[in-house]
Amino acid sequence: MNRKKQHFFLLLQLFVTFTALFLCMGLNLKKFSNYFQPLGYRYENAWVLALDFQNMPEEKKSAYSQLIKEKLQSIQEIELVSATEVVPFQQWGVSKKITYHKQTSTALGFEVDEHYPDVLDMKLVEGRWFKATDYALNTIPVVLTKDLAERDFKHESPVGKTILIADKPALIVGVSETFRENTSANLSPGFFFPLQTTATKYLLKSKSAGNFQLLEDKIRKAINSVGNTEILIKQNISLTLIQKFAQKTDYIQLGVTLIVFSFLLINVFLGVSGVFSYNLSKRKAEIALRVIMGASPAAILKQFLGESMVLTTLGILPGVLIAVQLLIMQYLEPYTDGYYGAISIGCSALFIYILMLSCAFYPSLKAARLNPSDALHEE
Amino acid sequence: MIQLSNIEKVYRTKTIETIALNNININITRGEFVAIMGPSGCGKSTLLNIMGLLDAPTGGSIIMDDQQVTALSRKKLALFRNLKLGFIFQSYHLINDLSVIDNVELPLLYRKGISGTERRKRALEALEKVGLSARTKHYPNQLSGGQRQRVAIARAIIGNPEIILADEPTGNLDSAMGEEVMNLMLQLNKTDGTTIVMVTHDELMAKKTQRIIHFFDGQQVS
Ligand SMILES: Nc1ncnc2c1ncn2[C@@H]1O[C@H](COP(=O)(O)OP(=O)(O)OP(=O)(O)O)[C@@H](O)[C@H]1O
Ligand SMILES: [Mg+2]
Repeated sequence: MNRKKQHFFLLLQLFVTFTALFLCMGLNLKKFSNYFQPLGYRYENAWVLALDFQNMPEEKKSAYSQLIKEKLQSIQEIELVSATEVVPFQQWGVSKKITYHKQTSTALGFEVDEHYPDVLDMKLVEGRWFKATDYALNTIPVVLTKDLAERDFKHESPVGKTILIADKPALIVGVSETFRENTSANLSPGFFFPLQTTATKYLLKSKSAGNFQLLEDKIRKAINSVGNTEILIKQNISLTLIQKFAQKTDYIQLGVTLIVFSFLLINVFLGVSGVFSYNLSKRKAEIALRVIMGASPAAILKQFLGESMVLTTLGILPGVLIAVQLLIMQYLEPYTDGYYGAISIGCSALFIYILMLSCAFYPSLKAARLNPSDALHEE
Repeated sequence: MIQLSNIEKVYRTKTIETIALNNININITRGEFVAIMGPSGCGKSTLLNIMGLLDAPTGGSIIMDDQQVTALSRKKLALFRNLKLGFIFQSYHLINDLSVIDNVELPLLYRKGISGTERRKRALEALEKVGLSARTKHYPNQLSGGQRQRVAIARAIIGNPEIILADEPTGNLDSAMGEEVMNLMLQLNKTDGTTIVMVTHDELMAKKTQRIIHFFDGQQVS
């Protein structure tokens, strides 16, 4: 293989490695940073109950749901009951199109009831939560999360404004804290809106949510006492356990990613080291000559490390340009933004420079130690 | 200028031991043009490599330009070579990826305090001296053997060395081109007072120098 071809493959390999690193970091860094942000609620005292109403018609379902809520409410250990479609660490919001002043964007819709903020101890930043009395109105009452308010309303207050949600008018009644999952984080900002159909999940607030046996039994009894055999319990568990399980799968994911990447990088390291070694062995006569003409070992080392740095720059430059372009076009939103994107570009580039330096170092050192008369003798 | 005392060079491999040089004492004075002759394998190149500080002798001492150079570090040796020595080889040893003028500039690249424009200027002067001003942008493989050797000479003289070491500089050239190269070296010796040590197999060339040292089997015989 001639030198041009080899350089081309090296540049291609650098480009691919940079792109892979950038995407992996760019798509995960913001998510990872979520681990260190407040969730915006407390899950420790919450209990999840998921029911299966099987083929029950909607009106019957709604009536039974009401009855079940009352039964649950009557359990002494349970302070509050909220029917919901959103369970942290398990089921997150659904992407919706929202329009304000003819500007359309997407955000996650969290379909919950009026008790939700109290069950999860959520704080409001502004305005109020929607009430049962709001449901009679023609407009849908919604509560934006803080990050959505900041994204779409910048500095003005969104409370009292009307937006369109999937072309239906909605009135913003309040703004809540930013609502996050810290495991397998979903990064879009969102908004809360009332349940549109009968929910099949309930979040219960209980001081004894950690006392599994007791609460589980009482909840089971309450459901059975409703007396409809069609209603099955799908899940009856504390939210703390769900969180732990979600975290575990996240660690496994992270571990697999790391292993795959280490493997990739070891491959690149060996490949590039090999190319450098080969190239320098082909250039022994040139190196010997430079040494004879007065190049010090340090000068030789500098030359070859410098060459590897130029090569690296050429290799990752297209990747950097593409990455910047993607960020400018906001193509990677919501997974990454300008801030985390820039960090990802910087870290990926730095990492590849260090990797290339370490690939080039040993062959270059060998070149710097070359005995010139032996090298010319071999010619 | 060059004082070699009791120089010995032994090449050792696992199986054989070659005594390439045995108790060599040579004194070359400033401005001398010396030819070294002898049969193949008698140690001429080895001697020149030792004089050129490319290889350390296994015994003895070298004093060059009134400086003991036997035990200098690689870095100091490189600096010494850069400032005081010029090299010419039988097979030219030009870098094929570099143009003629870049090849000639090479020694100055490793000298501190010389700007790019200064380097270029001096390279052109050196090429003019060897009569190759018209070939600066060519690459070595676009030149004839005689032209390549003249480029090598330009490279050897660009740093104004006090000593030029030439290992069979005309060995690959036909007699006309060899003559040309030899005349260049004679002129250099005469006008610049450069000390030259040249290994050659050519009796006629050797006769043009001031002194001939004969070698046989690692020893000086006359
Ligand atoms: N790097 C080396 N390793 C082992 N032996 C060597 C080495 N270089 C030279 N020799 C041996 O030292 C002896 C002298 O070699 P040298 O190259 O100095 O001969 P020469 O006089 O220049 O011959 P020629 O006229 O053919 O160029 C030879 O026997 C050679 O085999
Ligand atoms: Mg020889």
